[in-house]
Amino acid sequence: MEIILSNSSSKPIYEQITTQIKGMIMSNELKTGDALPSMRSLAKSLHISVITAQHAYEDLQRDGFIETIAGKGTFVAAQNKDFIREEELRNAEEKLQEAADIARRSGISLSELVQILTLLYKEV
Amino acid sequence: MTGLIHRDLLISFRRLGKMSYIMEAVYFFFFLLFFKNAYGALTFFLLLAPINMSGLPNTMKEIDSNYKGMRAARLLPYSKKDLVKGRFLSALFNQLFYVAEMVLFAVCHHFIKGGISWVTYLLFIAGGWLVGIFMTAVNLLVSFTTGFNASAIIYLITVIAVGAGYVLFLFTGVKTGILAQISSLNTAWIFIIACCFDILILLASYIISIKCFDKTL
Amino acid sequence: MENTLTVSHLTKTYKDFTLDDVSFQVPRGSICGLIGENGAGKTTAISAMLNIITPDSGDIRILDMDYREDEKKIKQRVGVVLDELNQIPHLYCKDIDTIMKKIYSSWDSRLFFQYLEKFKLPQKKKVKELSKGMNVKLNFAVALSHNAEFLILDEATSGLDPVMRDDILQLLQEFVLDENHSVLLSTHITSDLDKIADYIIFMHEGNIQFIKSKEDIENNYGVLQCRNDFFEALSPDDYCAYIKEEYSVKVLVHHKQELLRHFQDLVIERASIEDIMLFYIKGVII
Repeated sequence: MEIILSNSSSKPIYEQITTQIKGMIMSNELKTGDALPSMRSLAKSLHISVITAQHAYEDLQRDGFIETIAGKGTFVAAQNKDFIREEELRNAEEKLQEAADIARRSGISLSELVQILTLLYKEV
Repeated sequence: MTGLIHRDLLISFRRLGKMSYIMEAVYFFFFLLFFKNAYGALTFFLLLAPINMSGLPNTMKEIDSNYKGMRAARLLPYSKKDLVKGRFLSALFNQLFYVAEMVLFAVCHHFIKGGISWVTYLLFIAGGWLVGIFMTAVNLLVSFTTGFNASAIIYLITVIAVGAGYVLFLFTGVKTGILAQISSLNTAWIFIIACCFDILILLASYIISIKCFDKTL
Repeated sequence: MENTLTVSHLTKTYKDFTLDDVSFQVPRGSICGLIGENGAGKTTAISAMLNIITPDSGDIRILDMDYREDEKKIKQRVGVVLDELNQIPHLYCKDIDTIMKKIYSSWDSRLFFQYLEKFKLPQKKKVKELSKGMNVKLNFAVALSHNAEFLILDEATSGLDPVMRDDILQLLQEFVLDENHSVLLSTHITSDLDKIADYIIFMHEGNIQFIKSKEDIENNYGVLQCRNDFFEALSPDDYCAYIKEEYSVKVLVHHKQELLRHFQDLVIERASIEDIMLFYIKGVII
């Protein structure tokens, strides 16, 4: 597992961690049942505050990506496909919102926008 | 408490260093071999030994003041009272080594020179030890109530005072012959009084030291 | 026990300095940085909790015990490294083991010698022959070898080169891998705290200016440099301090995510602990 943090990114550190771990789980780099480092040892390895590590793990747990078994540790949870789909849907919606805002601002019509989206979607 | 005593004794041992122990041995043999009559033994028991055995408070005061020894000790798991008590016990425990040295000296002296009864040796040793206790009590009190320089000066003064007292004792003794003097005096009473005096001085020193140390820092 | 250390309303008055009604906590399992200028009161607060000075008023609880009543029990479980307070110079490193064995009930000789080896400290040398950096490492070896649960460090890394400081910081992070262990690190080298602290307690002129988690600082605080007219247009709710410079205004914002949502092209830099300290001391606070 590799996590690279950037101090100059506008994303908070805990978010950088959750994004990267989620990415690794989704791409199957981290498989169901794989053990994750403890919160504290993650904090030590990444040179971050324990609270930040805790925040990241809490978010990952809340979103169903990891689970903590008392006495054993933290592991990648069996992926609930619906959950992931929800997440990705939210993501896509966010990006589309951005595109819609830009379009409205600069006078691009809805049909023009849909055309572009269709083209992009069909691209491999 | 044993921790503190160990600490004081080991630090003091390292601070004094090889040279001072070599000098100890030199004095030992000097007074053993180079004096006629009882003067060598007398000087060893009543002057040298007391001075040597009462050095710990001053040695530790230097460590405390110049090398932040007391500051470091305050971080250890002991109360202020413990630190005073520990120092007193270290100083007294330290004397046992010198008492053993005196016994060794007595034995050697008996076999090399002879002429002095065991009882007299015992009286000399006891006398030296009592003087040593007195000097130690004074120096402990001073180390807890004043700074390093004052302590060092007062230590010097006690040494000189004991030296002068010893010389005086010799002069009065010379006229009538010391050994005869000693066996004729009512030594038992003198010793009991000296013991009580020492105990009182020690107690007073301890109580005042604790009160004073409690107020510092 | 939620908090390893609780300082409540600590007050101590000196001739020209007063520690005034200071309160803060060190939560269990955390590394708390105590920052402030020289003379801000950090060492006074630490001296008080170690019962080296007697405060005028206030309470201190360490490991759920009263700092004065249970002083001896507390000191068995607390490791202390103070600036410029080293071991007795005439002792050999191995002498320290001999002494500490009899002083600390949980002294671990094997661990101590392991540290000596790890720090490359020669057992057969006298303390006075060690360099400054080695002395500090020796102090840490002692502090970490009696199963302490709480480390109190006062400027323990000042005067060390960056490599040694990094070694020490790693040691501290290892120390808190056990969630029962906590650290109070008083320092003016705020960059060290940027690396490892969980909470920051900022003391200034005898008072606590703020207590914040590093999470909060990292996520919400930022430094914005802008023109005066932009600054005037901001509402005072948007920032907590500012410094008017020659050609711009430097602003300390404490809700930077919100600000970035409103003004998308705004450049807000991450606020380091040093930045925040300087804003509070040299800037105008809202």
